[in-house]
Amino acid sequence: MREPTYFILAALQDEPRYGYAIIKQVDELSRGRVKLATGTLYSALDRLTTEGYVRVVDEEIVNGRARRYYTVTPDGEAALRAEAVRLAEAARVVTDRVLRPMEGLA
Amino acid sequence: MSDELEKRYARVLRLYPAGYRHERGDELMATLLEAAGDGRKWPAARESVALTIGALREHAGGQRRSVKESWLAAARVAAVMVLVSASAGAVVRLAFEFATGAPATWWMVERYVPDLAALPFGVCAVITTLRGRYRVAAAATALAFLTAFVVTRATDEYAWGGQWQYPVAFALLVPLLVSSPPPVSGVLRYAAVFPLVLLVGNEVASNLLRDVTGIVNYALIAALCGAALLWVVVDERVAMAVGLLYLGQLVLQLAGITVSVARGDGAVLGVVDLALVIAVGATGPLVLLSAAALAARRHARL
Repeated sequence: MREPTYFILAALQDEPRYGYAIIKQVDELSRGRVKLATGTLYSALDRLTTEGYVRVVDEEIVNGRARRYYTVTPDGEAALRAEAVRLAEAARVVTDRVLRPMEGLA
Repeated sequence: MSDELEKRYARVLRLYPAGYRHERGDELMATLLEAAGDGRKWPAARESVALTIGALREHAGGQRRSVKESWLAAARVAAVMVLVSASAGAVVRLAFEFATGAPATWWMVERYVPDLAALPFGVCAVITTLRGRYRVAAAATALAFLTAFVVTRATDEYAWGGQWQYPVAFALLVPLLVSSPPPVSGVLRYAAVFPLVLLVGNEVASNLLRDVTGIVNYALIAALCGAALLWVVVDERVAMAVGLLYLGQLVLQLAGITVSVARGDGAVLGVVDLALVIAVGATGPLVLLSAAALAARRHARL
């Protein structure tokens, strides 16, 4: 999973969000590291919708334009969790090694 | 100010296919304007770049594809390009020779008899490849090669289009006999035109720019490879196809050198010269295929 895709799914965990709200939430969750451009966001949403990980849950008209709210599906949540576990296991390869010499000093 | 910004973003959004704009256009515009905030008159550069790349990818068939699907599509396109080059070479040369005043006599045509004899099979191979009938295409390619080979032996004429292009095309068709690629879209649909452009460019250079023919030819090839490399961010299959095309040419070149050395024809290449030939010939395909492979892996990720 690409990093922006991971954070988009993570941004939809708590509640359905629309485009700009997803961009802001991703920025917050990644602590400013992932700044989504609009084109990138909607390319990712298209991929996620095709995979069945995200779906449109509501639509309203704001200032004469459609605003769609997206939510993560159960399959999307499972894929997000699996990716989080994979990343955590990869991180432990380094963090466990760093901790072990410190245990020797204790 | 917001109106000006909206008009400028609308111009960029026009790059997207009409269907996509109809479905997503309003939503994209709303997000772009909200993200821009107040006071901005010009689109942010990163937004314009992302929108342009996104639009071009939509035209190229925006759906996600596996690495295998990308390679299969590229092999199909490369096979078409090699077949067009092999089939059209003699026809283009003859057409230019007659157009520049050469007499329409049999001895003018005689030199191209092997290629012309193989032409019906070559054209059949191109059409059937484009229609996805790969078994028929492979059979037609094999027949084209055999015809040119037999006629070359019988007439003692050299096949100018390169009868040896047909085995390269056959090798590219083999994976398609096992797994069919998805239909191609975007620039790849016009792949058959590229070898024609190179053939016509070569003849124009030979006839009108004799002193710089070699430079013009290399410039055309470099331009094609450069464009394919830049296009990797949009559709890596183009770079894959062009890389496979020139990898095939390198294999033919090395095979030709090997056969010449084995026969004792002409001057034997020293190790340094041989290394130079390989290095120059391999650089283009190596760079294209490596960049495309990396891009394919990235584009295959969700």
